[in-house]
Amino acid sequence: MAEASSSITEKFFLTLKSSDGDEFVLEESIAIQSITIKNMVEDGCSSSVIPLSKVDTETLIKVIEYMKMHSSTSSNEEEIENFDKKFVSNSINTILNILEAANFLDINNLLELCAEAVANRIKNKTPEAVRKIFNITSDFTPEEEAEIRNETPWAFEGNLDHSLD
Amino acid sequence: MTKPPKLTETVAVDDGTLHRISDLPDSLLVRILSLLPTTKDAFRSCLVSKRWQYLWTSIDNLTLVCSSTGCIHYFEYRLVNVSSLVSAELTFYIRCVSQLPRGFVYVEDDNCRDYHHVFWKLVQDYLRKLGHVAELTIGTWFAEVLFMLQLDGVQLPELKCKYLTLKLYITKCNLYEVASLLRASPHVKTLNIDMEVDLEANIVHIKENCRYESCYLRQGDNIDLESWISNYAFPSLKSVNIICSTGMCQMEQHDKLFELSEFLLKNAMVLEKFVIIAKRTHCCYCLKNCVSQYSSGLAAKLLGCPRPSTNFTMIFAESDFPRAQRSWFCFFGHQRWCFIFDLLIYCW
Repeated sequence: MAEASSSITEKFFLTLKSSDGDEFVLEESIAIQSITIKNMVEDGCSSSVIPLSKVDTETLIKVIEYMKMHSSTSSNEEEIENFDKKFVSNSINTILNILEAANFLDINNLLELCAEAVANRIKNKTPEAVRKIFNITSDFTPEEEAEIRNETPWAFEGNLDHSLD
Repeated sequence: MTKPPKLTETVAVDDGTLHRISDLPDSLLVRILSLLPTTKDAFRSCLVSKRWQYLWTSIDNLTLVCSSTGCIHYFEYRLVNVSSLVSAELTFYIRCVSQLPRGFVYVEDDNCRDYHHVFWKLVQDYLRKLGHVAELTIGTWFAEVLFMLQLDGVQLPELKCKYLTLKLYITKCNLYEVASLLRASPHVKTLNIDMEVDLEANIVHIKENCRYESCYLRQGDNIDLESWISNYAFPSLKSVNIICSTGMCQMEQHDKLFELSEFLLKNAMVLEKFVIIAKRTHCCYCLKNCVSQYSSGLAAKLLGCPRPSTNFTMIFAESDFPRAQRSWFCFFGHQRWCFIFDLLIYCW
């Protein structure tokens, strides 16, 4: 695996198939950052195409971009830092899709990066703004909501952010 | 799941396909909430929808911080079930009712006793419930209350904490408490003393102790550390990190940080690393380089102190924030200093 790519010996390639049916060929040493894929390789289930039924093409492209950047020996710390910064500036929907994919593929660094990005997006926001950002409809009755607010006024005071960005 | 597509343009134009956050498992949502800066932020999410109402109770860190005046409302957090917590930060403080800004009921100093005791009870409750937490961060106010409780004869419960961080200036008011906390936490492997805290808030807070509190805290003047905790060895303590920052010139005449460090060196049986980091070169109080001066002095003094641990390194590092400007000095064992940053070694 990792040793194989560093020497002159052949590189192993895996084929990943997105939920939209698109196939991507990727070096094994890069792909095994995903623990899910690594386990498949170790169990010998990777000889043919690996179907990733939960990951669509757009998301898979992003995930592969991330894995390539984070495995490449040529990219230095600063490059990776800049890449991550740019990566988290993707739209919230893209980030959520990647988060879900990272959870499924078990790529801990990526999961952490996305979770933090989402947390940054919703910190200091009003519950209304959080709902809008996540496309959630409140199922509280106005009375229930008023009751929570009355019981815990300290949580909702101060300069909370109403904006959606 | 059917949801009315009642969404604002901002999100709709964002992407062709809207992500349904309801598809995410609770565990992921909790992970996101755990990353919010304070528990107050996480709590606020309870109003998002019924599914979210209790999600925040599963977050793995409790962060009760407070930077402004009297955050009395923080105590509205009654800890109920905190068995899932891994880390907790308690760096808020409660002002005495007599010191609260105008608009609150004014109470004579002498009458604030009951007020304090309500919070003391809650502090005890916090400590008991957080006994299983692995990473604990404690601030000035919390440490002072613990000290006052101990003067009243209250025993601290045993803490399972392995990683203890103190965000405070070591003063006579909390030196003994820090020692007691360590004694109550026999599993602590790493102790961090972070003095890079909001000094202003801390000094203001200390000056604003009411007469009732001051009366207690003054007793710190006459206590001797050895008698406060006699015959105690820290069985697991392997590494101590002290971060000195601006305001070291404000240290009291009798240096309590040195006293504590000396005590730790003497009683930590398996201590491997003692790190002193001096942050920032110029102090915002004396406008001189007191941080660096103080810290290197502390390191030098400590090298001469007795210690039982044989496999021991003391490191003194100066760091100005840009990474490149960092210079590292290292003292190994006794007299040898090395300048490892440039891989130059000076032997003295």
